[in-house]
Amino acid sequence: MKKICILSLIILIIPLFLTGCYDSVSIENYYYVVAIGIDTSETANIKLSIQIATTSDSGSSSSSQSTESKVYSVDCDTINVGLNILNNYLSKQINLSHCSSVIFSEEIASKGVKEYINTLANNPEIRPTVNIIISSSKATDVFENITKSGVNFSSRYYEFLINSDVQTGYAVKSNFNKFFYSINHETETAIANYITVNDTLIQSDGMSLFKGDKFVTHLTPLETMSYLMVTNQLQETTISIQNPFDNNSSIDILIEKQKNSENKIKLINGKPFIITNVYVNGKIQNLPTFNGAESTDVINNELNNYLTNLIENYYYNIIKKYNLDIVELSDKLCSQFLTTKGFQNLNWNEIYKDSFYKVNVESTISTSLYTKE
Amino acid sequence: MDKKISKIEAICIFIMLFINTILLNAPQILIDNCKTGAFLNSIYIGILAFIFIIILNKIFKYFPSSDILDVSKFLGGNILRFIIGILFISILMLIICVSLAHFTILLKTIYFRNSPILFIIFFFIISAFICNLNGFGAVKKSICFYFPITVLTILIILQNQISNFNFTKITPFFGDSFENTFFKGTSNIFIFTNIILIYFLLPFLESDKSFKKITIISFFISWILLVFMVMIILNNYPFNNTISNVNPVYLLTRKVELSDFVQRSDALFIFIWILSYLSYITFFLYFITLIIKKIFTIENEKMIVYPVVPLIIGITYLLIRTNFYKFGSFELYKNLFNITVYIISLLILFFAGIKKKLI
Amino acid sequence: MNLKNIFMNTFSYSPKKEHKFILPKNPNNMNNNCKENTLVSPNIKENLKHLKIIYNSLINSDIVIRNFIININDTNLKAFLIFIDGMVDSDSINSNVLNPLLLKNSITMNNNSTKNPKPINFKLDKFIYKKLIPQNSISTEKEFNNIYKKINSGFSVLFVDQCDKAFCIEAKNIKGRTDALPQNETIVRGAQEAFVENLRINTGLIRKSINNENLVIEDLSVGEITNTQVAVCYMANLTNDDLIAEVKYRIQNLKIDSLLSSGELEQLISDNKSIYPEIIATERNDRTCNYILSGRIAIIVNGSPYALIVPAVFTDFLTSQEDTNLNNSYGKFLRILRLLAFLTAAFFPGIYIAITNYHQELIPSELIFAIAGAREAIPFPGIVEIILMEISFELIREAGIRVPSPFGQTIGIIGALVLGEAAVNANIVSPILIIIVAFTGICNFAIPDFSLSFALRIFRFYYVILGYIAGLLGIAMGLFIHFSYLCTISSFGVNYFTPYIPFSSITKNSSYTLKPIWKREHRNQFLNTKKPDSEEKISMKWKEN
Repeated sequence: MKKICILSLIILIIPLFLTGCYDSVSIENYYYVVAIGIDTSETANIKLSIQIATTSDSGSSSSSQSTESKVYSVDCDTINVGLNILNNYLSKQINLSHCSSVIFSEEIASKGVKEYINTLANNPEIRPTVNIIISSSKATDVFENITKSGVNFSSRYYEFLINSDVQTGYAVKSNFNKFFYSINHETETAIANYITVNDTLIQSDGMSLFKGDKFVTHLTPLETMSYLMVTNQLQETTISIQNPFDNNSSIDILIEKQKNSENKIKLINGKPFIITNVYVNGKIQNLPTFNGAESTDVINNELNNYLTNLIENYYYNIIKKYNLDIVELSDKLCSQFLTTKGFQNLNWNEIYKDSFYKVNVESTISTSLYTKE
Repeated sequence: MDKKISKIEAICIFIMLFINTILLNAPQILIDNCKTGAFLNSIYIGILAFIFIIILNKIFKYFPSSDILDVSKFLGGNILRFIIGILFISILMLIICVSLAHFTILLKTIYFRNSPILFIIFFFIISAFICNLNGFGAVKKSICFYFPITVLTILIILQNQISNFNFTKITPFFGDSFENTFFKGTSNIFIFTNIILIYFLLPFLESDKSFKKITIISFFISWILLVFMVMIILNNYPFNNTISNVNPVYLLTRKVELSDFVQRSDALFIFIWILSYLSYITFFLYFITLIIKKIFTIENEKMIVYPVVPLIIGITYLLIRTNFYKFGSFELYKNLFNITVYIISLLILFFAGIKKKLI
Repeated sequence: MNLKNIFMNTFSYSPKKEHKFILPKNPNNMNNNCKENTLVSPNIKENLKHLKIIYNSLINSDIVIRNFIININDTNLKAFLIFIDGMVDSDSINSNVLNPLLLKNSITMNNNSTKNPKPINFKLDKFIYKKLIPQNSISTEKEFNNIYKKINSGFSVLFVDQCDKAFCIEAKNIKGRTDALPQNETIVRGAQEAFVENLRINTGLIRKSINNENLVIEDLSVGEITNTQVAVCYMANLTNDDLIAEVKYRIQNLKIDSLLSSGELEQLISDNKSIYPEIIATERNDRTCNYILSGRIAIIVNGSPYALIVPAVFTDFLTSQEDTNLNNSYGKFLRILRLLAFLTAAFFPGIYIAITNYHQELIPSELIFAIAGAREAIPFPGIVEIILMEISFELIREAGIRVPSPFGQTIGIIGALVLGEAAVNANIVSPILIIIVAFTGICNFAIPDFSLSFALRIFRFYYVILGYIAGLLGIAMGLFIHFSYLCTISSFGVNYFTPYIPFSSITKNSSYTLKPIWKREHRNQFLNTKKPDSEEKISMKWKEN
């Protein structure tokens, strides 16, 4: 009798569990978005485009699969409305958990991206490692270029694109999480990738800078390289300097980090004074004619001068021309205060314009490995 | 053997109870109150709690193999024992219900958007219920089994974030103001929920000599974990924006990636945290039944689970529906915990010690 | 029906009266060292008493002592013959030892008593040795230690009154490699001997391997109609006495009509009615002897080629004899592999269903497109697919056991190729599911114990359904309940997860991956044996010098 009662209780409770599976969506019922593009639109606020990767099973005999990219666009007021509309006319649900990049066009980025980034940040599907890319032309052009160029499209296309450029030192790896917090932080500057689209090529062209949430400008590749050197993110890069012994040729040097660069900041007379020390190793790639240890000293000096000029130029642009604190110097200054109120009394945004800077570069050069004179 | 806890198990249980509070929302409470002063605040409350534990150690020497209920019976008879029991039951119920509400909302926003809340609550409560029916042996062994796995996940998070640790993010040291960090911040001591265990631990131990070692070692380890967690969260999320309603420790797991291969591995972390959280609830549920057993002098505590479980489901559902678990109930819970655990119980032990010396 | 009765029956609580046995910690340490007299004495009564104590002949069922009288020089002398049943050739003993001593020796008409026999003046031992026993191989021994060795290795020993030497007669018939090979527990490197249905042959095999006088084999009988013989084997100077008493208590208190196999006995004497096995069932001789020497008890049922070993813990079902026979590193590797196989066989399909339905972000991007593309044309949802495949796999396995052997190979090929390949081509299942089900099946076969792999086959369905209901939350809940249920199982007083959980029971020699053999100095502590050390601290004495 007792068992019957307990059994009937269990049978009454179990349907509550089994009629569950409210959230079970099978894996083939989703469209997996690889990239999101946001442009200006004539008829509404934004034009939202999504790039989807689909696999087609080409017959059971060969059983091979190829990935293609499809692009869908819609004019809408906000991102969520746009996704709703797209969900409506697409046959499957849209899933953003494999999205690897968000592309803004330059036009819309200069108007402000805070709203769109906040919307995306509220979506739990977005990964924190999504790349933010600003493109010189429209996002739809980028997608068209990819489909037309016949390149082997895979879901990791954008990762490969950004990673390969990071290797050369001309692009920076952007991060959605960091971008989101920088936009909402008063004293920080957000950075993102910048790409330009030619007829056949997509290439990264440095990094883009934001003031608040509006796109201001983009740094050239050389300035990006200086930024990477100053913030310890440089892997390796190749530069060419003028040969001091022969004015008609140049020397290619492969630069890599020797040890961490130091950024110090002090307040002198109420104005910040920035000291940067950079340490690099260099390896000579081509072999013009020179000999002896003295010649390496001369080349060393030449390299030091070149890099110092580069970084000073970079600082001039950042501080005087654009007035953006992208190296997070304000955080370093924070450590000299005991409470946040003391720091807020400083009014960092005003005094940043009048900062002084001094750059020291130390390098050691060695010749390359395999061939000898 | 199933009735006693050995030394290593007691340390595991202590640390595990604290890890669960960290995983739920403890660092976020500190950071919300004190901004960047949370680092110093965590050290400060650790010192206070440590002094408290030493005092408890000294007083409990007069009462071998007895817990707080026996001491209150010695001091004030059955009435005082009843009152203290009811206070502790209410704290434990609040701990279970508030943390369950938190965890359920977290799961619902991320994975189970369309499921009703009761559906998710049922999963947790039924597991705790069945484990309690299997006896104290099962409860104790569950915690010990999931302990190394949970510590492993925390170490993975720590290892991932330590390489890009920037000391300037913790500055300025005192946060908003000196008073906020040290005077108002004293009430943050309610984070150490595992101190409740100290009051009930002695009858379970095989020998009273290991009591001191257990409490001190496990407290140190949990304190160090808290400080590290606070440091790392401050490093990653700036202090003047409490933009995120979601648990920041969970957000840290999204950053754990193994080159380009495994990118969003937070589901695995959640899986392990669910297991450790289930052992946490089970343990506190067992304590509720134990206290009820002692107050009403019932012989077997297994069946007391039957009436307690629907009560917990009801209170949790109520808390979620009225959104009360976010702000209001925290103040209530905070004050109740501080007063009961730190003030009233200490006074009772103090007076009972005096009474014993006089007798 | 009375409402009050229904209410009281459903909701009233009364504690169950359970028979709860806990293995006590301090065993009775009785030192049965009766080895004071090391030499054979001329008084036959002393010799008989000494041997009866040493060999526990009151309880040992296969030690045979045959008392008789022989007549030498018109004197009736008492004599007895001691041997182990199952290791000697009975025909040879009858015709070459007993026959000449009893029948062909002229005593029959003589009714002289054996009390106060006349003392023999001449050399009795030489007389008996040279004239009375026509067996081809006899030796004489004076020291008891040598006599024990001879008895243990299958000799029959003759003691005669007034003679200070014993005669060791070699009439061995040790059943060596029988027709039985271990069919379900094959290993690469090790003896290929297995038990058969005959009880005496099995006990003979055990005696041969252990070779020690402290081994006790007691006979009990179970079943009122069949009176099946059940032998309980243990080492008297190692095993915990309470454990022995408990085993015998349980076997002797069974009121059943018949007992025909060891499987039935296993179910009748288990503590809990759980799906998981609590008693090891093995058909290998070397494994049984290993367990007996570590302090456990082996139970052999007449008519069944399986020996039951008690008590058993969880990790015993994941070990095989090969781990100790091979190099230590290979053994460690195999054990870790088996543990991974266990986890995979239990959780893999469930986790696959949970991840593909709830947590798609865990899968790397390229793989997810491959899976989604492959599943496009499949008509069934994931859960139906996986249950279909699992059931067909189980059917193939069952059919493979019962099919007559000419068709055995064909079924395997049909099952794998036709069902798998054709199902994929007809778009009934996706190819990735075939991989998952096949891999899970392989991991299931890698588990050495049959009962444990069977339990896993049942629990796998449970996890698949839970994974479909609520993703990883469901699997976590299932795992939690499952584990807490396992914690309540105990086998003859020993907890199922000893010695790993609770942590207090982790002691020397309790690691799952074995230490090298020269470091395994201690027996398992949870067995509470009388002799905790099995090796000295430095066991390889040849290295010291």
